[in-house]
Amino acid sequence: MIGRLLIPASFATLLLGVWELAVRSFGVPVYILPPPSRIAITFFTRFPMLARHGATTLGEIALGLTLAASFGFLLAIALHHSRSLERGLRPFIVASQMLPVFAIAPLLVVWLGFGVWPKVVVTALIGFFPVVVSELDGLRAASRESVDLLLSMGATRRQLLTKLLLPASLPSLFSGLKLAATLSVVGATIGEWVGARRGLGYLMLESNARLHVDLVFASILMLTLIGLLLFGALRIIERWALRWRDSAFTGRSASARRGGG
Amino acid sequence: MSALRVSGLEKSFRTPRGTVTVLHSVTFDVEKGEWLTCLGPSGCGKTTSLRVLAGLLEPDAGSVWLDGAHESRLGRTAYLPQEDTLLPWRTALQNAMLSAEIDGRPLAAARAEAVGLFERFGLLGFEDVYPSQLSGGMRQRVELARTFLSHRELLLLDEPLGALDPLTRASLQEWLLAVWNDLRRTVVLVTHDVEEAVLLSDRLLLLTARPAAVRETVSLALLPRPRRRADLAVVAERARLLSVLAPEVSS
Repeated sequence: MIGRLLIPASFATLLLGVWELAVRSFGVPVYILPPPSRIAITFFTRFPMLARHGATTLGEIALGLTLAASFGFLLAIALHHSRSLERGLRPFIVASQMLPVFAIAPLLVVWLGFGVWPKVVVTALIGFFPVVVSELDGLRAASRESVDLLLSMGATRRQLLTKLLLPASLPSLFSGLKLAATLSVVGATIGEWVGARRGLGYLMLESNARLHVDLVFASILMLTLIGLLLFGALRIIERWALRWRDSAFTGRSASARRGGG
Repeated sequence: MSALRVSGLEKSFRTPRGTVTVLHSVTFDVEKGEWLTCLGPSGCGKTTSLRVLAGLLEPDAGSVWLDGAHESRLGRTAYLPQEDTLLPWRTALQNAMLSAEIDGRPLAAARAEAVGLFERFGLLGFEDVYPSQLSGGMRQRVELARTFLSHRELLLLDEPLGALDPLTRASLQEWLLAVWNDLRRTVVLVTHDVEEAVLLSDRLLLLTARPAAVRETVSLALLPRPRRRADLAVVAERARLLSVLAPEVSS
């Protein structure tokens, strides 16, 4: 573990060292590019404020991601169920992704106001596509033979879905969810840039306008931490849901069982 | 009454290169408690015929009666596909109980029954292990346990031992014979292993290369049970069948 972290950690230290040194020796003003030490100090001294704005952004992300995941999941099942529905809707789903969300974000503010909803909708729109596409692929992951097996047992369509197609789709679904989580941070930030009174995106714009560049960087750091937190949480859920796939883990317990018995 | 009666099955598939006839006028009967083996060259349509028997595929012509009834066969046979079909997210025991779940049988009783069969199948202690942690031979035994636990009279086995190494395969053949002696079901097995066919079956259907048609029916009723692969009669029958089948295989 320590060995695995050593190389990226020393690389990061080197990078930050060069940055610090360059800013100090060339006398770059703090309002253009603050040194990392200054950003770190700002991050810790302004942490309560960053956490408050971060909580707002995290809430928008969580809500948007939940919407994207639920609608994407259900739509994928519906599309899988009906071939004509898939033929009819697939072009629109793809087109919805070609649509630059940036461009409609101001409209969402006009329609939904300055509250939390335009951000949630932007986040949901961005996260929706990877969920639909990955779940739609996942529902085709079960082999023909296992479908045959369940049909020969007399399984109903619902049983086929719950006992075979959905569990088989989970690995693919989680890939989509992780992608959606990464994108959702972008979505919420864009949503806040367009019009907000709270949140890290708002804080970044405000600080930038006042030349508090160190606070801009501290906000970016906070956003990164939120993204990592989401990704890590999803990884933990994924490992639990797909524990049957984690052969290293079950392998150890199974061989211990054999050795002990 | 026959457990299974098949008459005049025809099946062809349309491919980009034209129509391929896979089954041609396949007709046979299986008595209750009988072990019938379809023996034929690889790719002759054995899997297709089992999928028709399981009700997964409708024949172009001909008919199938199961227990004298000519209705949908889905849910009325225990089909064991050739490929590994253990669901990787279910433990060995959960896999074996799949059919009980589909039928909506009481799970406590199904679990007790499955544990009992696991003991008989030498799988005790592996109930909660995921398939990826089992050896090939054990996975195959779990699949057979699932098949026997389905409470169906007719078992349709598609080369159940085909993917195993020769040693595991030989020991599982003898094991399967003993299990079948205890549990007595009607079996239709398809295989291209002549020795396996001679060792296990009451009757053989020799199939021709594509399209599969019944070329000859061989009764092994006179071959005494229990059989061992070293029995003179078994060896002689195997040699005779090989000589009958060999030209067909090489052509």
